[in-house]
Amino acid sequence: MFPSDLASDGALFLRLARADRAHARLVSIDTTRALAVPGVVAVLTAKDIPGDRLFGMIQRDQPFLAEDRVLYDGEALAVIAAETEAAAREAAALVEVTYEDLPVAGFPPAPGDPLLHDTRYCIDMDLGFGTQADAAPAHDIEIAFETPRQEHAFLETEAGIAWIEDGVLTLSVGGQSPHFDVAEIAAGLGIEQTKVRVLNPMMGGAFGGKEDMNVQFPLALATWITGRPSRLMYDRDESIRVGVKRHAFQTRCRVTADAQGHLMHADVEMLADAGAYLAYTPVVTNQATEHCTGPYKFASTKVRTRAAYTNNGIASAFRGVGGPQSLLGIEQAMDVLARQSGIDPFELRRRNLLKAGDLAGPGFRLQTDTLLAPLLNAAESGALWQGRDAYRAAAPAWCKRGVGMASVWYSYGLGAGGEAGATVRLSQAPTGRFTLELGVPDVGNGNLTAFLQIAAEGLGARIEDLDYVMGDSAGPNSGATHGSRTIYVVGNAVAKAASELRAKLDAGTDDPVVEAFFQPVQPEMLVRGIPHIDYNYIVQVTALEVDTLTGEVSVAAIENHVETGRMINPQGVEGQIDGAVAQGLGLALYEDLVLEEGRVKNPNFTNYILPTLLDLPASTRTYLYENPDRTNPLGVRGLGELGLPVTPCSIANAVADATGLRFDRFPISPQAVLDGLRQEQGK
Amino acid sequence: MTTVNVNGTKHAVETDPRRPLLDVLREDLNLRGSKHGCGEGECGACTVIVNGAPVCACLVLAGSVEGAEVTTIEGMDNDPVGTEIVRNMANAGAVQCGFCIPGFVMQGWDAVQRASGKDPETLRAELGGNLCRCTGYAKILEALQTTAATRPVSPIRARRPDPVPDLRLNGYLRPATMDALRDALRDPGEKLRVIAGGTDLMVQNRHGLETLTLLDLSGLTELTRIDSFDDRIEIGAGASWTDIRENAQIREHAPVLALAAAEVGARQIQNRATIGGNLANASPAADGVPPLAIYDAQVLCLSAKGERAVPIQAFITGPGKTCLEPGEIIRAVSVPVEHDRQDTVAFFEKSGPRKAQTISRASVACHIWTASDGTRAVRIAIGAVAPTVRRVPEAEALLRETPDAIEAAADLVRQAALPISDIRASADYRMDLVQGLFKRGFLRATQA
Ligand SMILES: Cc1cc2nc3c(=O)[nH]c(=O)nc-3n(C[C@H](O)[C@H](O)[C@H](O)COP(=O)(O)OP(=O)(O)OC[C@H]3O[C@@H](n4cnc5c(N)ncnc54)[C@H](O)[C@@H]3O)c2cc1C
Ligand code: FES
Ligand code: FES
Repeated sequence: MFPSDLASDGALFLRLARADRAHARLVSIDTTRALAVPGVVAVLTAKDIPGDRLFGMIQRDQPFLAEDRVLYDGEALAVIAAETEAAAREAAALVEVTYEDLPVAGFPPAPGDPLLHDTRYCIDMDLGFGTQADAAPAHDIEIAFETPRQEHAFLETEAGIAWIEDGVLTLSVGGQSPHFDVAEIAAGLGIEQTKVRVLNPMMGGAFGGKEDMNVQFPLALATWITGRPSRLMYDRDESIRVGVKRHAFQTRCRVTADAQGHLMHADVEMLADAGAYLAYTPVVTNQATEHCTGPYKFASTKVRTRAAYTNNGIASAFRGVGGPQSLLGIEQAMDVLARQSGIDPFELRRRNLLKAGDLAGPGFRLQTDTLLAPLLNAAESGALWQGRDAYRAAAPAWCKRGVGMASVWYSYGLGAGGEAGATVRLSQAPTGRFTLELGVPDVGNGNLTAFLQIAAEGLGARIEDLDYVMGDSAGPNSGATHGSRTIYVVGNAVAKAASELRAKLDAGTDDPVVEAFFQPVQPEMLVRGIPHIDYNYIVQVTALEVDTLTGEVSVAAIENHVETGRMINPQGVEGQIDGAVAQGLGLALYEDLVLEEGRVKNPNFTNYILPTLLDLPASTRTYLYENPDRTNPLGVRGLGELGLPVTPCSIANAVADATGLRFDRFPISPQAVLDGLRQEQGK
Repeated sequence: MTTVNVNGTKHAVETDPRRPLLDVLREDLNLRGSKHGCGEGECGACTVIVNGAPVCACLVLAGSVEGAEVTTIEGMDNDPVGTEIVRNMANAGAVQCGFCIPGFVMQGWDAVQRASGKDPETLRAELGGNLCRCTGYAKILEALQTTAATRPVSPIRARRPDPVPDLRLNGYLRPATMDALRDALRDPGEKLRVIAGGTDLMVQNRHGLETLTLLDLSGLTELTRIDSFDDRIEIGAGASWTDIRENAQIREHAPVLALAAAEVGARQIQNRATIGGNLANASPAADGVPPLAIYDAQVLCLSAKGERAVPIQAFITGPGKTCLEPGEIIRAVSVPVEHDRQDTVAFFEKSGPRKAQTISRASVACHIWTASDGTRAVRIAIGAVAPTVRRVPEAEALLRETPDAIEAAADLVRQAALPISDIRASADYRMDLVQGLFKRGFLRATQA
């Protein structure tokens, strides 16, 4: 049962009345007509919230329900609870709002834009190390581009139900952080945390887009106030309109090198569209900052990162946060450098790999060597790269073909100062069956299977002998499912619990329960969140065809070479890479949330274009290389994200191989391709 | 009261026949295996089998399945094909969050049977109507390939619906006979809306269906007939795109229409959507219109007064506008047939924002042949690049005289376009595209 499948008898249907302005002062909200609709039980506004009216994971700046102003189109104004869905919909349309319109702050910020909070830039960091050498570089390359807002498009929209059980307000919802939700809900209702329980059953996808609160508070408020169970599922257009998104970025990446291709100076400037509230913006900009010069050694770097508040909805976490927006800079620059210098792109990277002790990115010291050299060697001798001349030569008359590569790093776990560790509980019943309890949910990423495998192995038991309680705030606090941390952090806690319980059982205990805590060693902090204890590595080769008559790009084949750490479930790892590649391909070629004056112009699957099976290459091969990680006892790495950021990079490089063109905007549109080809011809 | 036969059991449901079948399955029958992913036919998570063909349950009216046999994911438990797919998906690690999986099993059920013994492309082409956001599709495809290789056969078969009497409920009429239809057209009333497959109408009225007065044509088997005569083919307005792309006479005599039928949406849409609906909806991007334009088809319009034939180009008068009068419906489309065509070049090229389930940014229908008397016929029409579909007489004349003047003809095709800019493409790009599509179609058709 998914959150949207849950329904209890007599549950009230909820709908949210939403603002249809991107920026306005709220003069009044009149609920009289909505309340008069037959079947409507309650219409609740901010005034009905008994406790704190603001929430937020990092900063409590976002109102549960807008009170005196609206900062983005679709911001929730009132919760309608009704006996039927039709009545709730009707009433939602009858909430009468008087606005005083205000000018809209767009992206990038323009002089004269209104200030939405006390500062325009919620993030403004100036980092880097060393000083740029005086010697004139042999190569001086600059890549500049922008990336769009990307929609998570989990196939199940935000959904859930709430009810009261033995005095405890209980929610079963699609979310990623049950313990955090409990704290927010309790604060909003002004009740004890022990009076709230949040369950996260298996849900139809999350990808970071269900970390922030979505249906939780409306459900909690309606059920707490009416005493009746309630249910709510966002419509697809509602989900796309108001759900959190990947941050749009404007990025400029300048790289200099000497004649032998040794990197000298990197100068990166990034500007992110934070949207109306902070949400996870600092995490995103940190990740972008940390990774933006790639796994390569520079003599000096300068990294400027900013994020601006705008009226463009809310931007937050999305798988591979900050990755594509920053790595597209360095990986395209490396590709250009390889072409300019005549050095093979694999060799160029090998020449510049970071080693333990080197200063990296914005100026932190790397703990361990990068693990890229063997992956680069394997990809270089792989079938796709070796067959590139034959592939190119076989292009139909109206097509140009290209083969490109990229090699990226992406951290796993939470950054310095961010990881609070995880607790899990493992016990054995008199029947001999084991129960594993942990708080984090499985958001469709397969971590449940991995946990059971780890526990079974540690106990010397079979998976069939294990029961589990997962995604439940009543369970031990193991944090949230995000940041590629669950296998790494929670997995190690499970392993620890299993070995402790086994030792206890071997010693003949009469109390077969253990609670184990694991927190990874934290690296020295540059700024909070930077750096991470370690990084994942992937090399990707992509072959594609560009239709010179229509500008369409068709990806024919992708080959991945991945460093996996110890593998718990190889099929699961492949699946994570495949899925991330598809989302990266979407970002590279199709997915573009169109905003005009803060309004989403394509809030549906007809016009927000997700790749179908036919848009993915007919051939994808993923080669896994297993090197146990040394920073944690299990030797695992978190591999949920890394396939995403690498994909736009290798696609951009393959399009450049086919056409010689670089693009200043992603997704690369067929129109831009045609325009580019025409300009080339005109030259 | 609506009676639906689901997974072999007849259920009498107290429901409005104008609700989507998906809501009735999930809410009234508590069959929650069919998922709600979008409610607009795009994601396929709601796929169920109606009379042997997978369709999107979110775009099927509850009333229209009375007398039909509906199979949902719950009914796959004892189907040999369904269980084999589920087993292979588990073995391949094809399931991540699992939300799309019921839809893939249902569409896969049809796809593996169609693709059995054929090349892998055949199977892929059947799966464009199901979105998965987690897996990147690779392992789902692998599981279905494994299943197709075993050449499975399901006892669930394509069947025509049981004849049911006229259904007449508040705001909903589904006539069972042409006489009852004529009666209904006699005094249509102002609010009457015709519904056939519902794939346009239900998307356009997603939350207001129960406020409409509907005349549902889906119970009229006569409207689904495709009849072949010596001089013409008469395609019933209720014929689906699947019926059309698979019809041997159409493939022979109006091949470009068959090619276009295969490009409408994806399989679930093709199984449900009708040619009549495509014409009456009159979208500039409708893929059915350019092929009908090149064959100079006639639209046969029926009303209580009788029937009239309207040339296709006169039938559609603007975006969303036709010459249908109140109380008039499309009964059939008549496509003239010419025998003994020689040296045929026929293609339908369309391009949308992605490769499957996509709305045309531009399309080109083209058929060139030499007639039995030696004269050369060149027919070209373009879609989605003007308020209505346009023939391109200048390019046709040029190619009649100078068969290899492809570049010049493509320029003329471009000049015939009068596009607008919208969310899917700019006007400039549409001009480039229609020109490029013409050239590509020609190159593909002549080089193959
Ligand atoms: C996911 C998706 C993808 C799609 N892809 C495409 C595509 O690629 N190409 C394309 O061309 N279309 C596409 N469509 C649009 C649609 O499927 C087609 O236009 C289809 O042929 C409409 O037929 P229908 O029977 O479903 O029409 P309905 O929705 O039943 O009716 C459409 C309109 O026609 C009227 N109507 C229907 N039948 C008659 C009749 N016999 N006489 C008079 N009026 C009638 C109705 O009143 C209504 O106004 C897509 C739709 C969806 C949901
Ligand atoms: S719910 Fe998406 S196609 Fe029906
Ligand atoms: S497995 Fe999650 S959408 Fe397909």
